[in-house]
Amino acid sequence: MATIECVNLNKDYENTKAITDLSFTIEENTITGLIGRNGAGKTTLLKIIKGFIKPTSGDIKVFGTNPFDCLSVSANSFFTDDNMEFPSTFNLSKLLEETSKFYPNWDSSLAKGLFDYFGLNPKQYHGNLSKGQNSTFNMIVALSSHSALTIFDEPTSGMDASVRKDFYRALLKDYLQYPRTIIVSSHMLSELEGILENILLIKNGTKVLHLPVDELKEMAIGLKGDISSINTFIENKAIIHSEKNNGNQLLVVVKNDFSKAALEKAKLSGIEILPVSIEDLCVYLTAKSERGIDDVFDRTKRI
Amino acid sequence: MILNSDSMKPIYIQISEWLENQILNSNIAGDKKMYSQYQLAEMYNINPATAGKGLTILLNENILYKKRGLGMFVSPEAKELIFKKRKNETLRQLAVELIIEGKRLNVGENELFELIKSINKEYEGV
Amino acid sequence: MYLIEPSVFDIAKKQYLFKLKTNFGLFFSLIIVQMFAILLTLSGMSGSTSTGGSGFDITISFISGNIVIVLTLIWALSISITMTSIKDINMDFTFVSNRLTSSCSNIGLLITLSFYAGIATALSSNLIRILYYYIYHSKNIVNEGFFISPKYILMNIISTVLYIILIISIGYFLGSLFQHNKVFIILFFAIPFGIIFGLKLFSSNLNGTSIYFLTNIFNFYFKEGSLIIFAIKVLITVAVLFSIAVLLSKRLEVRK
Repeated sequence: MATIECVNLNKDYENTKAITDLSFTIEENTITGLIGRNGAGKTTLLKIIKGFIKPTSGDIKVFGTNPFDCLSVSANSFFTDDNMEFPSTFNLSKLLEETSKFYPNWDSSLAKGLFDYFGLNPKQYHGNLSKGQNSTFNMIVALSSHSALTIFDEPTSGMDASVRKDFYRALLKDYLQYPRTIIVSSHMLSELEGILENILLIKNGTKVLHLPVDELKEMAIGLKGDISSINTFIENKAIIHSEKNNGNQLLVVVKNDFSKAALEKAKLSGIEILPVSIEDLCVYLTAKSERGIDDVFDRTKRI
Repeated sequence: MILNSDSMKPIYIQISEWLENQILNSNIAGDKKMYSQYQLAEMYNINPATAGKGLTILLNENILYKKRGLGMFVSPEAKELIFKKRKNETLRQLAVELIIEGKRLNVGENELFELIKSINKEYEGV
Repeated sequence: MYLIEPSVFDIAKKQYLFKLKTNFGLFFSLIIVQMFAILLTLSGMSGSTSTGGSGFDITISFISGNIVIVLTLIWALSISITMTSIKDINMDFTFVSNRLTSSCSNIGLLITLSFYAGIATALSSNLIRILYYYIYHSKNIVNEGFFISPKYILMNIISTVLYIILIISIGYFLGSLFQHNKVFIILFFAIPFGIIFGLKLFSSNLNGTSIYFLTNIFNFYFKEGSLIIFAIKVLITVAVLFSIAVLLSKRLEVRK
């Protein structure tokens, strides 16, 4: 049974459409990255999946049922972001203790181990934590709950680089020991992509693609050379992204459906073949306009 | 081996090549158990599905075989299969690169042969 | 992976116990409110009447537990309204919850607080009498009514608890109404004004009817003689109000 099935989902607010005709399926025991620009609708989607808010129309099924106001979905899923409401009267160690009572699969040795490893103070209160400690603590709770569906919404905000690395490692290791369905929404795609299996890319509330990371890696190719050679080579192909360097050099990113022979020919005519990182590809595919940041600084183009 | 996430080669291919090297170097002998996708995931800090894809490539080429319930094992003829594959693909690819670069620099065929001979001499005994 | 199958009762119970611990401050706040009320009572604010005639003046000072009860009821109303705040509901959804368990555990907490407050209030009159005796060293206190029989105390507790539960259910109902639709906040303040103006404008015509209606509601609860019938009236009202509040919460979006 697919963990999440979403068909033609729509969520409208007064002035905007947060989600438009979104359909996808997330299979059991996978780690999916939910990627998109700020305001693309990622958090809205995650909150609908968790059952906090209702869609305007469309069908969403989590563990086979509608997640809104559903106790069984609530009991088998965990959602963490940087706005977790914890009671202010409990200190951190008491919070862990009380949280564990709601989750029969709670792993208390993992919680304690991570808690001590990251150097948190058990007597401290959640409201007094720094942003990074906040994210760290929330992450510990989410992992230790061992919920069948665990959702991380921007889990690394405020974390320094070494804590982030440890988080990805901890997430992977716990997932290997205890497989479950995990969704991570994050901007740190280059750091995260190694442990992801699939990526669901969202733009303006609609799906751009939902593919395994490996396929995404092979999907696009960068070609760099002088303008005429490039244009001859790509003919009428759709350009995902283009960049002009000083003078005559042009870099284009296009879909990689060239044959080996074609690529070798390209190399012969002086075109450089470059890999396209997944992070860059996602940025290009969700670009808002044709203008780049350089255009702001180009006095001739200023509007 | 450190994975190169910037390379044009997808991770699962890098994994499969590393595994092939392990077999070529006799680090894992024929009929011995191959790493599981979970072990590889832990070793390389990658998703087990990606590691699994690398293993599947080798399985499809009969370099590995599956024993039900026990996992994947190295075929007895794995080494030969890998040699053949490397010769046909990898070595050929390297040769293509060499020729392309040579053409770009206007280096003739004979000069390329000389280059290969001299380098071979340098690495003699390695 | 084996999925957990939770029961509403089980989760509501866990939430209830959880809320007892996190809302410890509420229990404490009642003590503060009642201590303040007792202080006011003892400082003679309850009242006195004086009369006089030819050659003599009589001043009757009385103290009553009214202040304690009134302040306790105000406390009850305010905690029940604030318990419906979105911040508290959001906290339920940090953990395992649906809207039914969230409401039920809130109601459980409020009823527990009602018993606690009811007992405290009923016993406060004892406390007042003792303190009065010691502070004012007054042997002039009417002796007959000084000692309260246990049976009377029990009846006092039961009726006070019922009043508090009634107020709490009204507060929770109003709070849920406001959460459901902010329009109701405006209506809630507009309607009494409307009634007052309406009465003033049309008093010549409607004199008897609307006032009769309002006093009827008042009498229905407050002038009931039999404790058992009063209990039944209150419990039915409370059940209705809580049920509506629970239904209203079912469509609420959280953690927005």
